Amino acid sequence: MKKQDMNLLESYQKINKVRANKDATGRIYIMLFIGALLIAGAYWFTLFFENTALKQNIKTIEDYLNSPQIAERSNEANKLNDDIKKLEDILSEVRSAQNVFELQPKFTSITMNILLAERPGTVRINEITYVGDSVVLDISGTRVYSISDYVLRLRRLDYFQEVRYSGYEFSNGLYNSNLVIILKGGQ
Amino acid sequence: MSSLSKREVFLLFLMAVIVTSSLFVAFLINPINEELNVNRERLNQLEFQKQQTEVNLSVIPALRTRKATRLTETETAIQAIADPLHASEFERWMLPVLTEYNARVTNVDLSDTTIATPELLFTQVSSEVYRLLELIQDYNDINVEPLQPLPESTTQMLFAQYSYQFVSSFENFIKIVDEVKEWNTTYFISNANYDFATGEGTITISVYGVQKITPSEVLGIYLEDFGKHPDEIKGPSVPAGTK
Repeated sequence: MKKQDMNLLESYQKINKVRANKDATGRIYIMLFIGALLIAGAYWFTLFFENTALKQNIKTIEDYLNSPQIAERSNEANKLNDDIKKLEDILSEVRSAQNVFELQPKFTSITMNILLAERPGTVRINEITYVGDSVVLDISGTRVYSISDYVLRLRRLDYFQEVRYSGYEFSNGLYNSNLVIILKGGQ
Repeated sequence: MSSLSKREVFLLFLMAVIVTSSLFVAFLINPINEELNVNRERLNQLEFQKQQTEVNLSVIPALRTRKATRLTETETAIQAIADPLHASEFERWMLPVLTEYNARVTNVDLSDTTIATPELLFTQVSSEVYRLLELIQDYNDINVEPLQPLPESTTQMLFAQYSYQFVSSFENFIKIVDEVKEWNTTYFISNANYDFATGEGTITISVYGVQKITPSEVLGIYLEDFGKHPDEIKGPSVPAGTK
């Protein structure tokens, strides 16, 4: 019988190699895992520091905005803006009223002097009435031409907006009529 | 370990990575990211607010100047409108004028003060327009400007109407009318009448008034005889600045 030697080394080495391979793979996984943890941790720290810096900036600005000096000056600026707005509102209201007042025709001696100066010698004024923007003259003329003569003279001046009359009536030897003279605005 | 195959180890590793990553993202990354976003937004708002505040603060001197200018403009404009006057105070404007020009007052009607908007008593006369006229104007190259709309105001003011009936010469009637006009304030003669046969004149004055920004004393009214014994009364003269 042939003697056969048992060679356990080869088998031992084979088993050791497999084990070493398995351990190496495990270490690689662990290293990878730790590496991933480190990267994630670094990322988190970056975010953390960024957040801390933001908080610091926020606090700085809040301190600036809430400082009594700034608040006081800010209130002053707001108050000034409010006041200006209120004054502009008042001014706008006042000017709106003034625009109306400025256009309002005025009854003055100039108007009356013109009416008297242009009056023909054959015309007598009985009554002058001023209502709002018109002057109504109650007149009497001694001649049939008198009324139209007076109206033509007044129209020729171009001082009034309009001179109107709607006729006349002969009574007691006089031609009686009413002239309506519409004044121009802004005079 | 020795009982785990390579594939099982890999799966175990993968699972550990996924679980750890999920936990990391869920409990660390996400919360801090959310906080970061909130803080970034807050910081942007605050920076904008700071910028605005700095702009506002930098214009304070300009605002002070602008306010002073507006105040002057407004006061000048509002001064052109009369102070609110009681009828008795108005009488102290009017009666000296009537006395000065020898007008004998026969009737006075003083209305209550009400709130009113300025009424424009003005008729805008427009010329008649018809087709043939338009064609002729067109042929002659005549441009007719359309009438401008009349100003309107919704400004509320104190308003009263005071009517004086008196007997005087026509010359004096004219002078009285002119005196009222020369007050150069918001007292307008809205109605007037003079009857040459009787020498009787009537004027109705529309009085508009407003309070002033800085309350002022009513100036120019005749107060000399106010509160005196009738024997001591000298009689009013035309108030200062009205002649």
